[in-house]
Amino acid sequence: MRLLIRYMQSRDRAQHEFDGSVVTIGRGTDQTIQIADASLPLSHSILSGSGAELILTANKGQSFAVNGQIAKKQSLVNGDVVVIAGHKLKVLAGENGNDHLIEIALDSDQITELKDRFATGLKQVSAPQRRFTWALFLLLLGIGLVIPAVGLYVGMDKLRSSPLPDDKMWLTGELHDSHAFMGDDCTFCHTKPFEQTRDEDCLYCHLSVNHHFDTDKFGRDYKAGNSCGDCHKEHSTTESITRTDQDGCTICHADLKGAGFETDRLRSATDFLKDHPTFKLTMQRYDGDAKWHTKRIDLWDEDLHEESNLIFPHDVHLAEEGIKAADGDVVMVCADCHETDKGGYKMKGVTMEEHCSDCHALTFDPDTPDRVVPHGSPPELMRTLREYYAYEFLNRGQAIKASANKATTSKATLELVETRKLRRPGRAKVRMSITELIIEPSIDKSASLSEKAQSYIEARVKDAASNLFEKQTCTICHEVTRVDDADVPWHVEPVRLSDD
Amino acid sequence: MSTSFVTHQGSRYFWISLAFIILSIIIYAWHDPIPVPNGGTWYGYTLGTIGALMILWLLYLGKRKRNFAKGWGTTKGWVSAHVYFGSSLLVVATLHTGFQFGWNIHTLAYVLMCLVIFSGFFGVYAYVVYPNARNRVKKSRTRDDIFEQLQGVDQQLKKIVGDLPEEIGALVSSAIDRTEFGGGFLDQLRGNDKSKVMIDGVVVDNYNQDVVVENLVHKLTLAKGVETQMLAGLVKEYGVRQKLLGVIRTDIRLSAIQEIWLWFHVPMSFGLIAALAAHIVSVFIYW
Repeated sequence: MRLLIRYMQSRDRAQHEFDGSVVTIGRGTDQTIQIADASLPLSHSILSGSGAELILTANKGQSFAVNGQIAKKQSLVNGDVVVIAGHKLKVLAGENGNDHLIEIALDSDQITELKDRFATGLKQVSAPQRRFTWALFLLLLGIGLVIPAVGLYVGMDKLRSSPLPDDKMWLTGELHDSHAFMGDDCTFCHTKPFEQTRDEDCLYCHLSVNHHFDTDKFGRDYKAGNSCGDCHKEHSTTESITRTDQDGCTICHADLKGAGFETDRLRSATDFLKDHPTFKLTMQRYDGDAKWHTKRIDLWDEDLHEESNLIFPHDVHLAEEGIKAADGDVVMVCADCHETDKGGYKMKGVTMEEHCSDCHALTFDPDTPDRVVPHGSPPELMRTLREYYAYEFLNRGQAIKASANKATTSKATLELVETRKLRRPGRAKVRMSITELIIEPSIDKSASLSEKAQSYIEARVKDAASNLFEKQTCTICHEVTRVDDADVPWHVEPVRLSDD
Repeated sequence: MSTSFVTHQGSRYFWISLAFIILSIIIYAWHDPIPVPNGGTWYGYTLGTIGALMILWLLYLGKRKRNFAKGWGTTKGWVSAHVYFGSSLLVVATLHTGFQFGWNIHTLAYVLMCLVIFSGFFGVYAYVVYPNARNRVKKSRTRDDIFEQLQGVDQQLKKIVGDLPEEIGALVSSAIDRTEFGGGFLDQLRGNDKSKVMIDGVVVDNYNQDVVVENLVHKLTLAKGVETQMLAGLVKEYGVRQKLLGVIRTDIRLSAIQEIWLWFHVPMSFGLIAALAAHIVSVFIYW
């Protein structure tokens, strides 16, 4: 398609030739026929065809008139006059080898001035800013308030089981560890909307909770407020939710008698640092009556010493250079053993299992370093040793038997104890510990199997127990004395540590 | 008003805001809430109430600034107070939170508030920096002045090409008709130049009018006699046009940057109001 496009109102009839298949018409500067009319879209229509054939097709939503008839798509022939928004395009016979001459007469009244053709400020750009603003407002109000609030009436569980937002987003902070089991169920405590959590909601679980003082004597009035929430604040910390400020203490402790505490056991305190009676420690003493007696001793008392019967050198454990532990040297601090309980009110007790056993493992046999005896009960300890060595005797017999079978049949695969592949004449097939080598000759070879077992077990138990009680383990921390007792020939002085 | 709102009445609102911030911090450091500072203590509620009322008041500026003539105070004063009180809100609201943040509607309200304030900071920067920059570019003329000058240059160009060969006239005429500036959102922000020109029946890019200038210069090198002088005049005049278009595009770009923050600031402000409403109501639903 070869066209000669001529603009009639231009000086000297500006014209240009076009050789292609598609002529674009519109306001855009990239259009083949540009009509700088603000009322037109950037691209209005296209003129296509091949050879002499011409077809004008309007873009979506646009139209034009051909010889007065409105059309969206129309074949054009010479003599046709197309009108697009008042601008005329006349199709004429081609000149100088062109298929057609397109004469364009623009309606100059409608041609927009150059400075007004394009948006030159953001306000002129048709962006949906206002719609976006309101959409964002409504979206956040819906997600953040309206939809979760609907859950209060239709049941929050329904919302939680749906993809819709629920009251989880209203959670102001993490719950205390003890309350974590409630999960996302806010209504567990917040039973009535727009009402602060009520005491009865707390007491639903905490009715039998221990109080700081004897409630039978002093009632339940803490004088610090009117509700549980006055002293216990949730959603702020996962640690203690109980108030620990000085005012919380001095409400009563500034004048204990005035608060109804008629005793000389405690003295009043108005300020923790400036006006507080000397602290006293609770010490245990084991007197001659074989009973424990709790004594309160002034912190600065020169006679302050512990009589717990536990041998625990603080200076060794808290040495600045550290102390040898299973994984190397460790520098210990007070808080390694002395911790407050969850509420922060009392100290947690120090126990062997939690605080000592990492280093003071109760192992008894070098061949099985993972086996330990129980702590706290010598009879139980002796029973464990007997059971262990009886089992070992049985296994030892199995191992010898299995080893013998292996020599005669290839099917015997069970080998519980390592056996020697090569040995000197007279050596046992199964490896033996030094203890066994000592014990072995003392067993009468002519005795019955059960007698042999008894001899073996008693010898091993005796050896291990005396090691434990007297040499390597118990005696490190406890006062141990030998006694005349068939089952447990040792006495360990009882130990008691204060835990309040 | 481009920068004067910053120092309005001896920066009165700056000093008021600074005093308010310092007082807020001192009280925060002094008060000893149970168990830890948060929005639910007496001071938390106090700061929260002040903050919420400030947000509503600051939003009112959106309405107030459209009304220069009526009402109490001057628009400049309102803008100055808006800037400084809005900035102080950053401290007030942060202290209100007690530095407790989480994945919830409360922190969302705080984050939206921060976005509004930080976009406002950019707004202040834009109003302080860009009007001066635009003024320097336009050499204290208005944009309309420059368009008028451009129109004069275009008429002069058409006059000159009347005495030159038709192809030069078509080239210049096409370049004028197909000149672009501004346009869409991104076009304005980036100062895009999508100008075209038709050469030999084909529409080609004419970025910065370079293609036309190169064509004219080429024709000038081939020209002889009186045509040389005319073409030299044409090239010179077209250079003026090129420069004016550059100024217009730069001004449009700077103007767009100067205004763009409002496209963020305003929607975020409304988002903040929604989140703030959800924050306040939900706190009291689960008191």
